[in-house]
Amino acid sequence: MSWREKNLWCETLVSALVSVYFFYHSFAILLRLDADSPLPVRDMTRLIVTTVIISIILSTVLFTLLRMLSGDHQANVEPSDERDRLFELRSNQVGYWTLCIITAFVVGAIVINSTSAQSDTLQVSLPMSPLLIAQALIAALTLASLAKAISALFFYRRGY
Amino acid sequence: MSGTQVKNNIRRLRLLNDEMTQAELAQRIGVTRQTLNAIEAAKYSPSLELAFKIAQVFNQPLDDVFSYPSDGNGDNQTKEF
Repeated sequence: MSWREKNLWCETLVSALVSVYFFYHSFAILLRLDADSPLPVRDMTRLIVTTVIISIILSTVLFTLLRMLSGDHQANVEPSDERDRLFELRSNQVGYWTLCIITAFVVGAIVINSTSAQSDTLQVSLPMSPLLIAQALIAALTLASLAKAISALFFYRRGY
Repeated sequence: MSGTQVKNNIRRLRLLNDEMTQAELAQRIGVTRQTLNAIEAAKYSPSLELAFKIAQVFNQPLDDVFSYPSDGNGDNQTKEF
């Protein structure tokens, strides 16, 4: 396995673990809210700061381990070539489409929610608060980033 | 499932050229060993520029290094240029 691929595995692992931690806690906070409760700004700020700190610690530990286990770092690092750039472009495309699809769903949910509030026939009630929408968009960005990293790993494993 | 229909004689040419290693050839053409391995295994089609670089290293014309099936169905018959 090349140095680039090992790096990708580490990045993916850090993204996945940090995402699971952040979204598990943030949706737990948001789903506890009633329609009339104030926005839990303090809780969310604390969660974001904790997530950033965990992300930094996890990255430092993982990349240090990788470097220690890989031996001669300079000898392992190779400049990217045309195949690396091709994989990067393809995985960017996968990430882009993931982002587009999830964003379209979020926009659809917002439209349905606002339409159903004014309609007698369409009765769909989704628990939509601005903070929940923001969370959904952050989730879209994170999932797109994960899709990009996982597809890059898939292309490297497949070899073409 | 193979990646490409472009066949090549890189492995044979490497062995004929003092058993040149993949790492050595990769360094001479400016790609990673993994990329050269993918090209050699016909999993990845190199760019035209890279194909010319490989041919230059072996001092061979391009169509002695790479070939493409004439009917496009992956048969062993290669198109004569």
